[in-house]
Amino acid sequence: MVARGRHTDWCAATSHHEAAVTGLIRRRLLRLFAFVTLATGIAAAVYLVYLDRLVTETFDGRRWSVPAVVYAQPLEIYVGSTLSMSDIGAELDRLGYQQQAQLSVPGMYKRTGTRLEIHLRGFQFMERLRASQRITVSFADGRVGAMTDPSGRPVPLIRLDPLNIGSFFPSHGEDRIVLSPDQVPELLTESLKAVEDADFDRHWGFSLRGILRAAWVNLGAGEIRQGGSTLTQQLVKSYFLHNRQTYTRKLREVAMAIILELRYSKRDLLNAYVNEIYLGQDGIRAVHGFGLGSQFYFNKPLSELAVHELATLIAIIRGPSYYNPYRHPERTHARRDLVLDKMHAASLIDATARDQAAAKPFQVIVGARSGGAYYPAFMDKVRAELNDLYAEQALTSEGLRVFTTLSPRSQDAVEIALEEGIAALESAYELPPGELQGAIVIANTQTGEIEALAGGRNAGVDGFNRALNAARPVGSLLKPVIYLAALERGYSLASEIQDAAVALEMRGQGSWTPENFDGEIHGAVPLVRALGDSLNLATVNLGLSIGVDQIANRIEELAGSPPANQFPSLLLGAESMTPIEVLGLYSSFASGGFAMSPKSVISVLDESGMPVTRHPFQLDQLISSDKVTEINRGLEIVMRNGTGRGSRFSGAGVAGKTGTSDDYRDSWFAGFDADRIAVVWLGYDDNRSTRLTGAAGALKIWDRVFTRLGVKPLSFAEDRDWRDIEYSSGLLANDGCADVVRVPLPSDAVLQAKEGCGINLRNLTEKLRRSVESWFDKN
Amino acid sequence: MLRLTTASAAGLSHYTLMRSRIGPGQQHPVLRRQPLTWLLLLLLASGCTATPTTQSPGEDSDSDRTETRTDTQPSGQPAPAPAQQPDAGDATLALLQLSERAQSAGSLPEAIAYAERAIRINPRQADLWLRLATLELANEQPKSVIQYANKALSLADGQQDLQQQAWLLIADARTVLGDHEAAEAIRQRWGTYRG
Repeated sequence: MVARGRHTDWCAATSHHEAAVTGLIRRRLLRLFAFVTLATGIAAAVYLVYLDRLVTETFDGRRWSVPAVVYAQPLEIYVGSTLSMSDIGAELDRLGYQQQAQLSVPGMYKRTGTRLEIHLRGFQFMERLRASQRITVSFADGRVGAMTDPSGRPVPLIRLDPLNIGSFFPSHGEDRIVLSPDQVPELLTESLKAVEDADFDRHWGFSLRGILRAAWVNLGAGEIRQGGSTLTQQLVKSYFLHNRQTYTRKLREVAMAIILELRYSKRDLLNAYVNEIYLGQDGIRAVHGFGLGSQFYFNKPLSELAVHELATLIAIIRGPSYYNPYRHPERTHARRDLVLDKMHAASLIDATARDQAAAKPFQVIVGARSGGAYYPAFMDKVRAELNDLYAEQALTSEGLRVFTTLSPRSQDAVEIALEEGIAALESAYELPPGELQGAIVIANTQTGEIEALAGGRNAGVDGFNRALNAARPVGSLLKPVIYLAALERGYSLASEIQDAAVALEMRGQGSWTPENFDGEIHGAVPLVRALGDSLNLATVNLGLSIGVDQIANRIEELAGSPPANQFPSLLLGAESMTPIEVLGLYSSFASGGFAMSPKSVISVLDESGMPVTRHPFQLDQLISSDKVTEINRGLEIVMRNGTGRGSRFSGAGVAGKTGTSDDYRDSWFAGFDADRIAVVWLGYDDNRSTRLTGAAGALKIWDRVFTRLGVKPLSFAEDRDWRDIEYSSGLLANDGCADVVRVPLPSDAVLQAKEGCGINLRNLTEKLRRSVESWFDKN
Repeated sequence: MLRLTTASAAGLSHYTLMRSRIGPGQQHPVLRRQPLTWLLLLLLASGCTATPTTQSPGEDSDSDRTETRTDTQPSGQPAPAPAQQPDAGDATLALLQLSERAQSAGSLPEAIAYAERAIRINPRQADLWLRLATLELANEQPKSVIQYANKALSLADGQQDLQQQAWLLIADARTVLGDHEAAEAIRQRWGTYRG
């Protein structure tokens, strides 16, 4: 009882106590719960505010983050221009124009007989928009004979659209061409919705059904396989979430999607999606957006894609590596056809259009040249020029448009000439195949604008750019500066100079005893021959008489920077220069006396089409008209009678100079015609001997380039001060001499009358006549 | 003759404004401080720089249909047979006219772009370099003026009128650069302005 009572008491007490404790706990729990709820709420709110800021900042910022696009020089077509139908056809092919019988839309052309009809795309040039239009070009004698518009009216000139040759995408590799909503075909946006997100126009950024379905699949698989993503979620993922998916990430994604939906219109989101979505990889460059995707896979603008091509792009976005059309064509083809079915099911295309599109072969451009063309060596030069003026961030994000001097036609010629020419030399001289390297730079002689640039024998590889960065000994390439300096100091091309032995004591280095290439000593020779035959001893004697410091000054003036070597060996080209520096130096001759720094940028426009920086022609007159005529004639005689006579253009009115460094480590040639100047270098990266002189190696490549591009001879206005002299002696000659060269001379030049060849020849004829007569007399 | 209207003066300020984004240092300080002297020079320069054509561009060369077109030939007639040498004459003429028109409309950058295009087509035509030099004078780039006028001189073999134009442009540029003595010497040698 007691026990019971006690028990009861205890129970009573316990239950009483229990009630109190429970109440306490409940109150505490409630308080805790309220606190936790409040804290969570605050944390969630703070987090949402953070997410909101992140989302809006990124979205607003991202819409403007567009890499600068770089264009080649557009092809100018005018009546009389020396372009053949195949030249223009090749350019149209590069631009992705299609040959069609009916020119229904821009981006098409057709050939009929000697006529080319083109339906040009519109393009926003600096001066103005050149609207899409049709044009007919007729050819005659390998030239443009006439151009007319559809009503038959003559058109004096027209520009093709410029080739897109790349962009300055940032280091994370994202590249894109941004399109505004009105540049995006409605069929694409509608099809995207039909295939990827049927509820897009209605949902709030996420689809519950999609998430549940995905969760089911993922639970079964034990890992996250399916995203169940709306277009908005895909956009979020592309913007913010690059790693593997987890459930917390998924929540974050949904939250961000909702924020995006609350903040922006469906139209903005869809346009962002079109510009943002990842479509493939090209080395370190990531192809984003349909604008670039269209160029990358089909080499034409999005607006020109046919239904089956649009469907291919939509097929790829589901998994650009899984549906990589190059690596997995069957799989991607099957998905393309599935996309076509879905487009049909959504009534976007009718059954006929679906069947026609599905019947099209599955094709993307072969050997994709990175969404347009791919000229990494030239782009290095563009980048170098722009880096002086622009911050990296400006180039990678501000949507600049850079117009450059590149001529795709010349570039192709240079690349082929170098690749084939080097292979031919390796084979002819039994050099180890695949090792000899080379570089070429080619520019316009009058404007200094670089037409083409190759930094190695394999131009498609983005590697060491020898044209810009390989400084190598130039050998005899410096000689023309010494001869120019002589001409400027009263010498003439006919002046006699001494090819005599030289021995110079060099402080602490013993004596310097240069030799001629042939090991001979030629004695008194005319200046024109010393230059033509590249005589070392004559050059050193001449240079020493003028002064090494004077020669160094002249090199500095013409090349733009002082030579590192200030010793007499400078006279024989013991000085390292890059091919583009040599081009700068020789441009002073080729331009008719104007020093020019080779340039690659014509203009840089901002998003609104306004020029941002000036890139004018730069040409300082540094050589007088008379003197440049004399030295250029001398360089033409190099080609006619001297070390360049092995060129197939020997007598064709071109000028140039060979260069060979010690042990044949470097084979150089710098030469020009009226229009173009090109510098060629050949050598090994490890400085081995090439066993090639400038004439045997680089000149052969130069010949190949000019064979492809054609030669326009130099023209000299000959006046009364031009005289015929004998190449070997420099004495006045007549037509009877064997090696006569016609040269401009200063009016005060005193020449000895030639008493050699012509007179001897007459004597010989006379003797012959007499002996024949006496023979007849005897018989 | 080159027309200098208030429109081209407006174009000057427009381009100057645009060029302020290029950064300081590229514009000659004298020009920035003395706009009135500058305008005076412009007027003087405009008096002496004749463009090589009196032909007007085609009526519709501004239309969206055709970028550049001149009515040098009646509609529908075949083009002349190609000459022995490539003849860029019509093309450069059309570009010169577009350049002039752009300048009159107040857009110096466009006018310069057209002139440069013409030079790319035929870089040995002295009058094209003179045209560009004239525009660079308006663009406050006296050093470029001297460069381009010298280029024209090197190409204007024996053509006195072009040589005179080139020298007078150099004189104007020298004046802008403050080298009044040299400018005066050139003017003494090459006579007064025609206009």
